Amino acid sequence: MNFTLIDWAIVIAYLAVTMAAGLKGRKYVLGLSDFLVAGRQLRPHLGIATLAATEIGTITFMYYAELGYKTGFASFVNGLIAGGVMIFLGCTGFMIHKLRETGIMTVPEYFERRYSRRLRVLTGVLVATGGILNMGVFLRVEGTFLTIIAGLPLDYLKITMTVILLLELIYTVLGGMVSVVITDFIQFVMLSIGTILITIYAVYTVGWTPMHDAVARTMGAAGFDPFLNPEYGAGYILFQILLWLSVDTCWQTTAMRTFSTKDPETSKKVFFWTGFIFLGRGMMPMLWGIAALAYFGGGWLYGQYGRYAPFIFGSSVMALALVIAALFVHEPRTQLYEAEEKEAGLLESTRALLRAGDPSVFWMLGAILSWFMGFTALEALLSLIGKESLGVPPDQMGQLVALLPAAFILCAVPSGLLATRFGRKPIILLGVGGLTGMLLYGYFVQSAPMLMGFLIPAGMFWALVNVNSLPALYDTAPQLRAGIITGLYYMASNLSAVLGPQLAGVVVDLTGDNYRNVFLYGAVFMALAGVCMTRVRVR
Amino acid sequence: MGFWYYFWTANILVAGTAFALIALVVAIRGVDDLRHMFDALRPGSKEPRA
Repeated sequence: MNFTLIDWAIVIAYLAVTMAAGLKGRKYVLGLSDFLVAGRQLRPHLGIATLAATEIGTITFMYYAELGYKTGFASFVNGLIAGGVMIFLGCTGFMIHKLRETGIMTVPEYFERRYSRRLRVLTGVLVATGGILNMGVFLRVEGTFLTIIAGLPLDYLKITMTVILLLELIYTVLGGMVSVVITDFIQFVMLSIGTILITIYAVYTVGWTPMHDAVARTMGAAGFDPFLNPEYGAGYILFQILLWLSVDTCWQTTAMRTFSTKDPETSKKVFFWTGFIFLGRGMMPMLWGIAALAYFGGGWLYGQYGRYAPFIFGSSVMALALVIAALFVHEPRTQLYEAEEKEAGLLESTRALLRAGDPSVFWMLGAILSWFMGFTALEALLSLIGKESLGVPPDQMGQLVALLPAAFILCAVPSGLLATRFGRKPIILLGVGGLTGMLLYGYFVQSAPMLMGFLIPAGMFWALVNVNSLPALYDTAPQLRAGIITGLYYMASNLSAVLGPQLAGVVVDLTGDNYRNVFLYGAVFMALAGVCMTRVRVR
Repeated sequence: MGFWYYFWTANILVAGTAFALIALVVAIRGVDDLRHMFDALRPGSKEPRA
């Protein structure tokens, strides 16, 4: 069995939330149009989410990644066609505008209006047969995927398929299209985050040039040119364009989304923007396949240079920064502006702070000290945790650890925006609370994939805290000079950078070299930071 | 090979950026659309039904 208790808990929690949300749709279904086309209440954003989610899933990711692995960059032609056709339909409204205008609810209904009732029945039988066959294939593949990933014996495949089918049936039968739209929205958000993070991770760890080299080495020009690749060619491209034109307009699953939009103009907007999602939904998984080709086919910096690699890389980047600073940064010889009035000195500022009788700044400094005590220790000892407690090789650990700053960078700007919208204190408290939870989860991490589940959310929560900490300190003591506040901030953060790893090292020593305790140590300091933060009064 | 390499590089850049931006906007604005759908489907809603 590959799944631990926490893995099952994540799967069950996700299923429970999705099921609960899906069942919520039941109470909104009052008639046939609510059941089949969600009362035609889909506005553009929801329409994009449900149309995109219906074409994103395990199978899409698996076969697109496989295409990337086997046919290189040339496979991108599939994503380009899928997205391009949809953008074309959105721009022109070809077929979809008319279909929505007729006010029908199913594709066979169109055939009755246009031709005869008998043709409607025949089309209905064909659509139902196609749907059942399609569902059968999808169910089988998804069931096999889940069984293998969970590490269950393949004897459990039928049970897994039955459980998936039952769960989907329950909310679909009870809530119809309304439930489907709700669950699609949740899936779209989760899948989008996952897709983006995996793509960043793949490019960040493997690198763009090694991907190009791996494709060029193994496939030559056919790995880039779809007309030269034996898998594709002009005939295949034409076939794909026609296939996607029919899938996007007449395939019942997609057509349901067209029929559910508020009006024909909305359906055009939905198709146009979903076309761009389709470009990414095709090309990004293909890129993972190419990254896999480069990863398994070529060596790493660490693999080539061993433990010297981080130092070579670090010194190269520093040398580059030095050259850029020396060549392009020109400091003015004279001060650009004079201070309007003489600013208060350190002593005067401190006196003003004490006179004000507001302890907020001290609580804030306590919070900063505490969260850096926890986080710097974790950063310093993460590689050792991987090596000693999880048995992950140092080169692989180096790649995994990069997920944390990558998630941080991705969330840095949104963290600042969120703090502006909701206030710095609540956002910092959210980050500290999330980090405490993640650190407690970290104690139970058993494998590299589980560690990824820790590093990405931890980087995101850390962005909420770190990005807003200095501005929050400014807010607590506006009477102090900016320079003094900055000094106090860096004193607290650097003090903890010295003390944090030392203290965590003592904890590891005292607990018989158990590196997992670094997570508990971090959780304690993060909780302490949360307590300090609750006492802060931000102006 | 050179042309196709640059062509696909531009494509993945456009596709990835568009995917991330649209996903972000849809994740935020989609909540309003969901709320609107619930309001419209609630019994007694003044919103015209299909």
